[in-house]
Amino acid sequence: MWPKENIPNESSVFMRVFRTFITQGNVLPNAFRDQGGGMSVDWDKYATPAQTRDRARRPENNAVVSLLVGAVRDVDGLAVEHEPVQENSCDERGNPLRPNRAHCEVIGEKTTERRVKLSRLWRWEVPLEE
Amino acid sequence: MRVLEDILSRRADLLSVEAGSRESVHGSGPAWSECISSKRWRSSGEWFSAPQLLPKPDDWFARSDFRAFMANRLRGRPVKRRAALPSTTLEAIESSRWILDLKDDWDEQGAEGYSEATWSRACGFLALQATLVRRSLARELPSPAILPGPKGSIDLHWKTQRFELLVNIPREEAEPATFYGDDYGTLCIRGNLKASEEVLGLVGFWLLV
Repeated sequence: MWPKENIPNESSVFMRVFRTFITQGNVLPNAFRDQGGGMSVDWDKYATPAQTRDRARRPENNAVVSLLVGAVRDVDGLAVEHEPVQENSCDERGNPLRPNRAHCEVIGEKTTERRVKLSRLWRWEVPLEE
Repeated sequence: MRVLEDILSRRADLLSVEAGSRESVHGSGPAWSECISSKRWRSSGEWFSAPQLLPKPDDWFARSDFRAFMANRLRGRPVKRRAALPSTTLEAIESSRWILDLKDDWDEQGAEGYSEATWSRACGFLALQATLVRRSLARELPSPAILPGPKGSIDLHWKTQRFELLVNIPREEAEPATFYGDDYGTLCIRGNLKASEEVLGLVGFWLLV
């Protein structure tokens, strides 16, 4: 079982961005949303941008951006926590999940203000395939 | 960070009872001369009643149209209003219909689809503000991006070199819309609003002044 670790502010997290959320080379505020309990991201200590992209159902429809953990925490009301997905885990509907030691959650409601602020923090890691 | 929401919402409330900014174009309020004279008591510091912002009849009517308008008004006949929705706003609305094709799980991460009712409310809000800005400020509201928001909501997103503003119209009609905008620096605006109400203080002031 992987332990839950503290993530330093200097770390980055990778986030998949579906192609609909990208316009003219920009990631829009609507890309920053919760899936279940929080916004799923991967810690760069245990994942590469390519691995994050490949976890998508159809990787070719996704780009990957990085966010500096300290910058995310600077957005009032947001926290970044390590939530490794252990072996034999399931989602809320009972569907099995693939183990992922890098998995983290950006916790805190994604209000309009927080989404605008998050949309200014990202950096390209893997751009969208043409 | 300085927050302007209170000031703006208060001024927007004042605006909503301004005869000259609303009633005269609908044809049921006072005539232009009455509108202008009714504003004279306002101090020049009130941005919504500054004389240079008052539309002149020729701004919206050809002279002959204006005569007909006035003649009908004097005879108590219904007055036709010229369509006031900017073409860029109409285009933005039309080109956002694709959102309605997004069904549940469209992002392959469980995102919800969008109802026509939510989309209509978002477009209605935009049309209302665009018309208001044209009528009250004689300016064109820049077109926002109309985007699929979280949990079946719709986002209206304005991004200019000076300001960014995001308005979120929720799926549930009873819930208020939320907004946040700033100038990338120290000025920001945030709060809730009713999607069915004109809020010149939000889009007009923020984006045009």
